[in-house]
Amino acid sequence: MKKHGFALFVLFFGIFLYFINLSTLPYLNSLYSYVRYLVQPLFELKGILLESTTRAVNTYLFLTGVSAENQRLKRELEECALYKVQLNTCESSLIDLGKMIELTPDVKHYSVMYAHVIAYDPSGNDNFVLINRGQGAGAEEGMVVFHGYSLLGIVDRVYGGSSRVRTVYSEDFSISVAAGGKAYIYKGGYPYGSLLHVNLEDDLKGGDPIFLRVPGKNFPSLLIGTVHSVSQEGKSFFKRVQVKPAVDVRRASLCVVIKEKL
Amino acid sequence: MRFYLFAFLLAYFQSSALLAFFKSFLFAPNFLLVYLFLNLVEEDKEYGLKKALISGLFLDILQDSVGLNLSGYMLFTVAMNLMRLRFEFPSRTSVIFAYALLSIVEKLWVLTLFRVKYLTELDLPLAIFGLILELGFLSLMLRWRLRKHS
Repeated sequence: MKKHGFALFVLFFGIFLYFINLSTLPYLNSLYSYVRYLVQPLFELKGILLESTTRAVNTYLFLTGVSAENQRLKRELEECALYKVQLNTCESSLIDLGKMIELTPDVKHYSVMYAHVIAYDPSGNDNFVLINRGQGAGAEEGMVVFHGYSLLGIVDRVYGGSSRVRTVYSEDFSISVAAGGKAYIYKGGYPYGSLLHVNLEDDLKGGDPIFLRVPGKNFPSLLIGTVHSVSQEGKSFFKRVQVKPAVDVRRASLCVVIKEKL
Repeated sequence: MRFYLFAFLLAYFQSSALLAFFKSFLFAPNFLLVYLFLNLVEEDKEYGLKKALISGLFLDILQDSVGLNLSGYMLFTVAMNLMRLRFEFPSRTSVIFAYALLSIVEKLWVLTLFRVKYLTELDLPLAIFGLILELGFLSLMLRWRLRKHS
């Protein structure tokens, strides 16, 4: 019974010690510091051990993640290779068909360069990004930059070792696009861009994809975005169509530049 | 003396290497508690007050939480002694079961005290994983000790 009593006393004393923050008490602070000074090497070793184990665990987790990502990318690469073979078959069939009806389809293989995004728009509106390819790499104003299947923007200023890309979110960005089988003008904006001069009878609805269209050129139809909303304002001749850009600028760390001016 | 030396090493391991695997010492497996429990089970007549007090202090000093682990260890010891007055542990399974119960009580106690003072999230899967590791360690130690005694 006596021992139970003493144990309970220590238990509540422990709670008391825990809540009064023993090490911060003015009279005990110096004593605590002195004891801490004596056992400092032990705590330093503990810190090193903790840090190195944490690093080892994080490295292991990172490498496991990288390995899984590699496997996924390998699968994707195989799918892309198959897709490319199918496209080549289609291309040769198209050329043969063109010859038969005496037409020469404009099949062109664009040369591309890969670039890393090195800076983003500090305003937060994603109006532009800086890429690490400039004059030295052959970048020129008007080149198309894309990420994944989506248009990122157009190179609008070229420096020595970098270029500025005006993105689809910028209000200064406008380009010819195709939607629902018709041509429109896309004007950038954050967070939504818009389609200009959409007639009232045009059948555009939310979710419709908007693709890049370059008149007179057989350019890849890159996705610009999807229709977010369609509305009619007063007695206007045109509909108001908002477009949600497809590209997530802040995720686009690696992008591709088509070495061909629009 | 051997107990205190090994207890210190376990406390050191728990507050350095194990903390790297688990987010917080609240969810890390408490191998020192397992070691204390085994010693108390083996020595029938001993109350284990001194051992619990010093083991708790080791952890508190190394984890800079003076009083928290101490009170948890004392609660564990009191509860264990009360349990021993009423029950016996005739088999390995009963020892593991008794430890699991006592350990859960101790963990809840420490977690409650910690949450009274600081805001922290309860990571239940991690806590359960820690407890399973503890029980695995206890099972291994029991097997090793039984083999040693036989």
